[in-house]
Amino acid sequence: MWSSDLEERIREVLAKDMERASESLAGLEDRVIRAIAERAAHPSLWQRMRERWLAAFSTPRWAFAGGAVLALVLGITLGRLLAPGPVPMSAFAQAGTLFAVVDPQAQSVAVVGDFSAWEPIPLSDPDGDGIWTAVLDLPPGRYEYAFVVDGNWVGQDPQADEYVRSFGEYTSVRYVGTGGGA
Amino acid sequence: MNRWSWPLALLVLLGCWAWGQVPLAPAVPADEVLQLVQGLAIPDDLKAQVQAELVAAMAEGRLTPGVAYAFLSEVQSLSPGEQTDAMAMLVHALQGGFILDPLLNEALKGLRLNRPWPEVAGVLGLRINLLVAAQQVLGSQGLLASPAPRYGFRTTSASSPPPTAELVLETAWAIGDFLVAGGSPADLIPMTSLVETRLSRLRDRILPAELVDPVLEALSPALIQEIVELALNPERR
Repeated sequence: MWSSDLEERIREVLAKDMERASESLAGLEDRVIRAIAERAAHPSLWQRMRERWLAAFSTPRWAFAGGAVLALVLGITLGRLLAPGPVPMSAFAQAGTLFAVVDPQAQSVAVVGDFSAWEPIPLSDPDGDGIWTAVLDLPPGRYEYAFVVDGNWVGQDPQADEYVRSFGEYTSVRYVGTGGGA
Repeated sequence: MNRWSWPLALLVLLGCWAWGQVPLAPAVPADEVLQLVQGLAIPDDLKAQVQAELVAAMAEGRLTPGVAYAFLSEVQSLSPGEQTDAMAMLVHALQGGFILDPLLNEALKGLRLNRPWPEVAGVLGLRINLLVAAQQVLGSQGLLASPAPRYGFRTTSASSPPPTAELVLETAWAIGDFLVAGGSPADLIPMTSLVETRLSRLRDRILPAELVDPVLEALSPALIQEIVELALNPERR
């Protein structure tokens, strides 16, 4: 008897709760659809950019192109960081012809030669150890050159194969082989 | 690894390689070279002659537009008389059918070292005379495989000069290096040795062995003397 009263009481409470909920749920579906439609009609700038970006890169062609650009940028950055470092001389010789000057006091070093119509090509010393280098991709042949250190002509490179003298100045000569190395 | 990994890794390596090497100056269009000639203070007939010869030399690979452009840019700053002198020398060398880059580079070196034009012209004149003499003597000895109409090296369609032009150039240049440095024309043994060293070093680099070996065999102080005397006494040609 006591349990049937309790059951009746529970049913009444549940019925009241359902009645209250049904009031707030009325028209919920319509409200949700309207909200979505409004958001789609007026997307924010950030949303528009994000959607375009995602749409572009969901196409394999653009994904590859974007990846290629990123890879090149990464490669150039790595190359910039790594190339002037302590790379063995043999590696330079394989990549091109190495021109090097050791002068810790120098402020600027360049190489001039018949490979550049005697226009200066700067050498770099990014780690500041006084070893200035440049690697040039020269085809096989005989090349005359000199270094210009802080504006002064330095014609006798210890790495040269021979020297010539004209116009009162020495010039170094390098014979470059078929591999492009000195 | 997905299918894009290898191409991307390759591009990374390509980027590293591209940055590691210092690029040389970009190529100059031939038109810009001709425009520079147009702006020179020289007689119109000489101007037309220079332009015609430059077009041929650049087409035949005997002259690099970048070198010609650099040289003509320097010539612009000379006096009108010196400009005419420079262009007359250039036409003479161009008509010889020689490889011209070393000659113009020699002039550029002198001018960049702030040497006066008469000094530069003196060196250029000697170099041109040596080219003509070397061409003539080596040709007369049968050491040049493909003699051509004028001094020997005119080609009609090639984009690079023939090896015989390189041979004449290097022979003349080795003798010239000795003389320009102040060596005596009578010191034939060191001059012969210089020529021998140079040709040997360039053998199989830019000079084919079949062209160089007969010259090395025939090389003697007497041969060098013939070239030097002809160069120093051009009226005997």
